Amino acid sequence: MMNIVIVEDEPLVQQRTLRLTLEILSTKQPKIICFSNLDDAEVYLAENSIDLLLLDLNLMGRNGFELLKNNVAAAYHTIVISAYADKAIEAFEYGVLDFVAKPYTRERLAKALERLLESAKRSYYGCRYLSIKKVGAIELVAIADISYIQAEGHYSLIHLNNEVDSTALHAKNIEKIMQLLPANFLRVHRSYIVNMNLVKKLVIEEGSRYSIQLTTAQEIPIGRTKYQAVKQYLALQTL
Amino acid sequence: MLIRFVILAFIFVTLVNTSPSFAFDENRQHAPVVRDANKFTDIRIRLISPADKKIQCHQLTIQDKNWQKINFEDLPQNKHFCIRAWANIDTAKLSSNPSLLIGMLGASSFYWDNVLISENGEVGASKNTEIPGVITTLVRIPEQGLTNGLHLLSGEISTFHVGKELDSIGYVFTIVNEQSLYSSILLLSVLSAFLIGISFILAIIFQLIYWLYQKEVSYQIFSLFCFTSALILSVEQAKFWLEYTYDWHAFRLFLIYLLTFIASLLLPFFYLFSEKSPKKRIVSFVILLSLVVLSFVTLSYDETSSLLFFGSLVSALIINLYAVIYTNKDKVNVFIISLSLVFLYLIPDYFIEFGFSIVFIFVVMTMLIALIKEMQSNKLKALKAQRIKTELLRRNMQPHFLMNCLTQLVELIEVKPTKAVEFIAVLSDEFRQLTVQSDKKQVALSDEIKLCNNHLTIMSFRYLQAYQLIIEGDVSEILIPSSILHSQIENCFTHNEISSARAFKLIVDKRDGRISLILKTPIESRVNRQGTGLGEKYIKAKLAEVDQVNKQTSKLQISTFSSYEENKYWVSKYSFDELSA
Repeated sequence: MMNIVIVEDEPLVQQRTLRLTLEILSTKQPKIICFSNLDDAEVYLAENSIDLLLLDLNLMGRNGFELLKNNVAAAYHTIVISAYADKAIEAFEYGVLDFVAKPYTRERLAKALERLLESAKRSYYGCRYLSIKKVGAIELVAIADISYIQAEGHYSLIHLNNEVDSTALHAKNIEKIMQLLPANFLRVHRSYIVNMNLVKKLVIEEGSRYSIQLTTAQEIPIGRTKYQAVKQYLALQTL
Repeated sequence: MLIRFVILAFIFVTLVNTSPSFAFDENRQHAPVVRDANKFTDIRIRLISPADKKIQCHQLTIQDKNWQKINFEDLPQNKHFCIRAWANIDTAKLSSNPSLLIGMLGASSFYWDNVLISENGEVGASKNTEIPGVITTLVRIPEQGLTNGLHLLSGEISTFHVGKELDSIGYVFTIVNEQSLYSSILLLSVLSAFLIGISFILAIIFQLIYWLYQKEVSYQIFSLFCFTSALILSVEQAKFWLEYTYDWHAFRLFLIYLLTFIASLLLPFFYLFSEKSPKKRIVSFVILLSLVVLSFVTLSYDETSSLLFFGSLVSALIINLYAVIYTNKDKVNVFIISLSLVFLYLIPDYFIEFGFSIVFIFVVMTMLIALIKEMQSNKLKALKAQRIKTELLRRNMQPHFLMNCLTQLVELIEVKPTKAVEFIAVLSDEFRQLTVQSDKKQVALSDEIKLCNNHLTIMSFRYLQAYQLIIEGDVSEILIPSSILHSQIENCFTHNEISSARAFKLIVDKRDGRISLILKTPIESRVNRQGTGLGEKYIKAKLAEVDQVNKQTSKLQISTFSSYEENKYWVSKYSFDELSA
C-alpha cells in the first residue's frame, strides 16, 4: 500500500489533486491524507512514514526553499505542485523528484507519479545538492563532492570527496537517491552508486571479479550484472 | 572700474610694444631728465585757486620744477589744477598710430607743445561752472608735433563732480597704438559679451524649467544668480555703449556693488537649498548678516565687492564641506570653490573685470553639475512612479495569481462548469477595475471598497469561504491613493490562512480636512507578520508618490502605522490631508 500526503491550501485545488491522484493510482489503492497547511502536515510527517509528498509550496521567498530542503532530506520523495514555474529548476537542484506547474492536467500529474513508480526513471534534472539531516539542521551536500554512495539498510551512506567530513547518512534508500542523481552517477553494484567522473581505472581481479578504482584511491566492487553497463559507460566517455 | 579694463587692454598693448631706452635732449635746460622713450614719467601739477586771474599752464617756458610731483593715480579730487608732463619722443620706437590715452574722472583740456589737442567737458573753477567730461579720452597726437626729442603735454583739469572721496580718480595717462588698443578692447569685450550671453540664456532656461518643469527653489535661485551675474557684467560693459560723463561713475560703482551683494547672497543660498541641509532659515540669516557686516567694512567699492564675493564663496564652501562630511557627497564642488577662493585671493584687484568672470565660470559649472544630478534623480523618481503604476497591474496579473486562479478554474470546469462561469465573471471584474485604477493616482474610497469586496469574492471562491469587509463611518466624498487598501487585503492572503468567521474591518473618519483610515485584517499568529514583501513596498511607494505630487500645492503628510493587536488583527492606519480631485 502506498502512503501519500497532499499539502494544498486552496480547497478546490486540493480536491483536484486528491481526485486525480486517486484515479491515476487506483490500482495501487493509495492511502491519501490532505493538509491545508504545512505546519499540520509536518506534525504528521514526523510520526508517520510515507512514500510521497505532493507539496504546494509558495516558493517566493528563501523561506520556501528552506521548507523544501527539509522535505527532500526525508526518506520519501517530494513532488512540488506550484504556480511558481520559474522556480522549478532551483527546486530540482535541491532534489525534488518532479515539479508540476499550475495549472496542471491529469496527464502531467500522471507522468510525475509514474516517475515514482518506476525507480529506473530518473528525475528531469539531476539535483545539484543532497539535503542531509544532521543534528538540529539540514545541510546541503554538493553532488559534485560525492565520490560514491553505499547502501546502509534503509539508509544510504554518502562518501564525500573532501577531507573535512568524509561520510554522511541520508534518509532515502539507495534506489530513491539514484532517481535524483545526474547521469554521471552509475549503480555499479546492488549496494553501490559511483560518481563516474572520479573513476581512475577498471580493475579485473581473479575469478573474473571486477572493481573500480577511484582517483581517491578507494576500490568499489562491480556487480556481475552491472559490468556491461559500466564498460559501456566508460567506452562512451573515452570516445 | 572700466578704466581698469582699459588699463588691462593697455597692458596688453604694451606687452607687445614696450622696449625701454635712453634718450637725452640737452637743448631744453628747463626740461627734466626723461629717460624712457615715449612715456610720461615725470608728472607735475599746480593747484589753481579761484583768486588766480590768469591761468598759466601750457607755455613751454614756464618753470615747473617747483610744481608738485605726483603719480597720475593720485590726482587731487574736487580740485581745479594744471598738469604738465614731458615725454621723450623717439619716432623710431613709436608705433604707427600714436595716440594719447587719458582715463580719469574730471573735465579737462590738453595741449601738446602748447597746441590744444583735446577738450573733455568744460573745466571750471567750481562745481557750478564745471561741465563733467567722459572718462576715457583717446586723441591722435598731431603729426607735426611728433619729432625726436622732448615734448610737453600740459592740461587744465577740474574734478569737482567726484564728490565723495574715492581711492583714485586717475587711471591711465599714456601714449598708445590706437589700433592695437581697440583690437584688445574688442577681444576683451567679446569675452565679456560671451559671458553675458551665457548668463542670460542660463537665467531664461532655468526660469522656464522652474515654471514649466519643476518648481524647485534651487532652480529659481540659480536662474536669479545667472541673471544678476549678467547684470553685473553688463553694467561693467556699459562703458562701451554708454558714453556717460564721470559724475555718473560713482552711481555705476554703487550699482555694481549692489548687484555683487545680491549675487553673493544667491550663491551660498543655491547650495543651501539644493542640499537637504538642516536649519535653512538660521543659516540663511547668518549668511545675510555676515554679508551685511562685510559690506560695512570701509573699502573702495571695488574692494568691497571683491570682499563680498569672497565671503560668499567661503559660505558656499562651508555648506559644501558640511554636505561632504555629513551626506557623503562628492567633493567636486568643494574643490572648485576652493580653487575660486585661491584665485580670488591671488588677484583681488581686477575682480569685476577679470576675477568675477572666471570665478563665475567655475561656480556655474559646479551649479550646473549639481542641477543636472538633481534632474537625474528627479527623472529616476518619475520613472519609479511610472513603475508603481504598472506594478499594481502586474502584481495582480502576476503568473502565480493568474495560475492559481486558472488551476481553480480547471477544476471547476471539470466538476462544476456553472461555478466556473461565475468565477470568470468576478475575476474579469477585478482585472477591469485594476486596469482603470492603475491609471489614476487617487480614487474614490467607494471605488476602492468595491475593488476590495471583489477581491474578497475571488478569495471566497478560492478558499470556499465567505469573506466580508465591514465598513464603519461615512465613505462618501473621500479620495484615497489608488489601490492601497486592496494591496493590503491581498497581502493578507499571501501571508495567512484566514477563516471566514473573522471579518475585515475598515474604520473611516474625516475630521477638519484630515482623513484617517484604519484597516483591520485578520491574522493567525504574530509570526505570520503581515506586510512584508512586495505588497508593503507597493503601498509605501504609492503613498510617497501621492505625497510628492501634492507637495506642489499643499502641505500634505501621509503617515502609516501598522501594528499587531492582541485579538489577532493586523491594524494598518493611514492618515492624510484631504486629497483634491
